[in-house]
Amino acid sequence: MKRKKRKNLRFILALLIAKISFFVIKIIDKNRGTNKPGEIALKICPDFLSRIGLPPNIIAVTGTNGKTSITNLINDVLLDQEYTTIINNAGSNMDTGIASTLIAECSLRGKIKQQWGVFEVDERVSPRVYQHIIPKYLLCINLFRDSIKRNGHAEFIFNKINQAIPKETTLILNADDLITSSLQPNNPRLYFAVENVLKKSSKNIVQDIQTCPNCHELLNFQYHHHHHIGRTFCKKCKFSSPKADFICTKIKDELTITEKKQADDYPLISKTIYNIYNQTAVITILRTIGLSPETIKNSLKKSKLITNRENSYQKGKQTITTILAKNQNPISTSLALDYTANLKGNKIFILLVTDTQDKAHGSEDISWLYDSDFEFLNRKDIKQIIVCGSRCFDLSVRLQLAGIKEKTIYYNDNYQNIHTLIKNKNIDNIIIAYELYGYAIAEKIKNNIVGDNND
Amino acid sequence: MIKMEVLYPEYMNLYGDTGNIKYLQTIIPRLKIIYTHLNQTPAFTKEKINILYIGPSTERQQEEIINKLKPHREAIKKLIDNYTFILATGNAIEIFGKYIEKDNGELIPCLNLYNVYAERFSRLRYNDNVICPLKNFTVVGFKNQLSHLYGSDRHALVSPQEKNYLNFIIDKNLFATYLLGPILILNPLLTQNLLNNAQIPFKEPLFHELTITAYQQRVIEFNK
Repeated sequence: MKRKKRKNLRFILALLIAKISFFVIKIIDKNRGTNKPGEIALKICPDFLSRIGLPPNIIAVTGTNGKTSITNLINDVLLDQEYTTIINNAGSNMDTGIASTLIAECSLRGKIKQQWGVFEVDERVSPRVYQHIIPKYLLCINLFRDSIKRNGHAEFIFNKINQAIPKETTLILNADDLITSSLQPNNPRLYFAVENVLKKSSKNIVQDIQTCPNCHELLNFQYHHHHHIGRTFCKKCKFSSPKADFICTKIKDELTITEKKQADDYPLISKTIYNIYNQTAVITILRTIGLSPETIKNSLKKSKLITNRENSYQKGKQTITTILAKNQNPISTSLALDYTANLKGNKIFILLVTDTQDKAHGSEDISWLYDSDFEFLNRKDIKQIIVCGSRCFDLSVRLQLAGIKEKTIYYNDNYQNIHTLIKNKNIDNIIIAYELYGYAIAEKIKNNIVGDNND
Repeated sequence: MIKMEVLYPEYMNLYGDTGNIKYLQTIIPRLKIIYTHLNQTPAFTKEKINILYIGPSTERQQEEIINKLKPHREAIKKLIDNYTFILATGNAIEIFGKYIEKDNGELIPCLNLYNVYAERFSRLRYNDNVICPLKNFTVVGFKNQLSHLYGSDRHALVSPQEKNYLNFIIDKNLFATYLLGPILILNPLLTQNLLNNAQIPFKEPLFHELTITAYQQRVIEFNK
């Protein structure tokens, strides 16, 4: 659905120039510029997204952590069921990225043939997207503090999304996240939740909501997973988290979702709490649009995210794991550290968590390191922590304030020959935690350790 | 024993601010921390405390906090007059001024302890890396806010790069600054200076040299 606006001359001109720009950019640089055509179109025609054709069914996915995985999983299932889809996974999750995706797929008249649009939407651009595109469904997986430069605080982002949500949109919300579940209370909605299936509660530094929204008393948890995620209630005014329609009630080799007292088992991506939430959200929306549990199970089994579960590599008895710990995002970093610190056996951590392109981006604000739970690394079975990059001094201070002994910490202000710093023997796991820009460096270090690369 | 009161920890931790508490715990022997929640009466109204810490909050929460603190204006003034070490970071600085003007023109009366006022803007947040010489050392830190502080008070200071907005209120042992996050760790020299002024005994942490190296690196980068 979209805000109805006719295609005017300005739109046609914007579409033509943007389409031409795709070819020009491809000639100049094959790997660059998926956003550029959208940027050009929106510059020429600011309400371009109101005028271009759209699929009749649109699912928007937003939230701090997990939206890319969710968008891809939904799309995988829809494609497997032979629906035609359009997804912005090649471009960015900004309005310009969505515009670029639509420009690439539409005819010269601006028409779109696909039945479903699955769009990942950055929280901050919600007003710029939803003023033009009205999603049939909006799935919000969670809202946490994120990069302060970009997002300020969780309440600031909540307000941005809340003010932009069209009243016709059905919301699919995380009942275990009191911030997310409070979005536009008058909109039609369905909730999902994850019960205490892992029997584990993480004690984190940060909890973005701690008080009852009604009476401001400190909240209590019926069950708690991590940060502010869990089922809450207020002893004073009897407020509680909303009741969920789709609940993950069991995790074993499969993931069990209970809906109207009917339990169904689905293939499991991994036993990390964030993947369990992502998958529960995906199943909730797929059930909501009418796919049967059998259909979803069969399609999920074929999803790339299911088949490529872990980025782990073997070198003899040693396992080398690479894991994303988003820079400036204390929640993502803490979850990654919590999961990997609990791997069995003796471990070495290589931390590429601060901005690997620090110098290009200006001096990094390192405050987020103090919202991230580096205390999880203060364990006897972690034998060595190697800290790399220009913020290595800051990170070393942070680790020592977490109680980690100086002799455990090795630091290096660049990324060269990191594998040579590995000093300990009898190590079962080497974990390379990398930030978004650090994937190539992590891969290089991993290859050097495995022995695929001798530079 | 040194007593530190941390006000409203359920709200006043926006961005790594608890790092300051961790750092003080490491360097001040026998530090007792009193966490005062919103529904509690501040300890400083009932007993002697040596350090009061007020961190940043969201704009909505800030209004609640102001309402909670207004009845204790005189007690806070007395703390300042008695040279108690008060650290206020991020938008907590605004609480000490006359009022906050919201973008719709509404005024939120504050503690009115200094002749300054804040103007809030609602859409774009303001970010900056701040470097400011103070006495015989330089302070570095990060800002992220939805408001600026204005006015003319002899205790209120600008930083050289942002002459239009006030960044600090420094009066006796009150150190209020828009800089947020773990500023005491980022500025080991400032921390030593503040604790010395307040006559609070402390020891250097084992990683003191590393904090100095990180600080010096940041000063160089911010000066570029």
